[in-house]
Amino acid sequence: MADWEPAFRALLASRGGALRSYAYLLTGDASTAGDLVQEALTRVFSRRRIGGDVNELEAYVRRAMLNQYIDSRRRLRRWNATRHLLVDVPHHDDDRLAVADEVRRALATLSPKQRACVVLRYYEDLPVTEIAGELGCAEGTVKRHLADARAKLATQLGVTEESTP
Amino acid sequence: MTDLQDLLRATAAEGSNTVDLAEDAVANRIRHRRTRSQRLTVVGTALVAAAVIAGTTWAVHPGDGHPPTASGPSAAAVPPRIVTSDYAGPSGMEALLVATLTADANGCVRAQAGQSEVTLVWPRGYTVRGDSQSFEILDAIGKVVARSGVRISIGGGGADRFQNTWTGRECATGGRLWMVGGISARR
Repeated sequence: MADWEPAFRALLASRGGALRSYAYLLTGDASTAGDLVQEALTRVFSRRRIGGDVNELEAYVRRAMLNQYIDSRRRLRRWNATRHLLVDVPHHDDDRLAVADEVRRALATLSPKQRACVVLRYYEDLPVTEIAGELGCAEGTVKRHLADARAKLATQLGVTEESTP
Repeated sequence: MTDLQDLLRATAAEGSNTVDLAEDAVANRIRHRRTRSQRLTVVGTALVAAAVIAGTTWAVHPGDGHPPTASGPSAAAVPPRIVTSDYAGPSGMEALLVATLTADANGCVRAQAGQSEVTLVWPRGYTVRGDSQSFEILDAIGKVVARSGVRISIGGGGADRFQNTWTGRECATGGRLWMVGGISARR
């Protein structure tokens, strides 16, 4: 077994679920989420020197996923603007699945950076300062993205401004 | 359920189990890339050795006494120009390009790798100073990261097409586009 492989297996064993959830919330689609995690893992572990610290490796993989998500969403923007004309969005009668669908649909109306800010702030629980660092932008920009995203989500999901600090 | 945090957690829990990590397939892909990277390193080393030998020969027989220029002694000096991305960070891609920076007749900075020329897409905030025959690339905080005529290793990867959000479209006149990641001097 190559020297990078134990760290790779340990990362997936301990943090695979968290990486799956993160990718799923960013992309809203299991297949695209799978591609996102796989490509990020490939990029990080293809580097010449790999440390063995799982937390550090997870941070690298998350950063790679975020960069890749924002870059790829730019390329997909045109496609997404017309996709709804071509395919039917699946509909679920089960309440739990219906809520998840509703959230995915609402998240899909956000711009890539707004969506990333929402996931980092409200799912990963990161403070605005750290989100700004992750996205390479000013804190004010993050706050603006969050405010815009909250306004959109408030309408679609019925979440209140008070419940989304 | 009106709390956004709860909604996101419920959505993640619902969908994440269907996300396939394809652990073994990814491990195979990593193995393949690492092997390819090692081969590139060997080729790069050979190129450096060739450059050192060529440099030594030039030092012993310096020709007409002029220092090496970026685009040859006949090119008129015009302001150099670069293509920049709208993203401030490095590209995040991991491929390696070993090349020398040159500028064409219009001042557009390119990477000369063997017989082929590649248009480089630098991160947002990068600038160039000097003229087309001798120039320096500076990062967003003004630190020199590369110079013309010097062989360097450019991390990054190819881009499919020129994006509307990039600057310097006039310099993307066909050929390959390379999103610049890390830069290091070849020794």
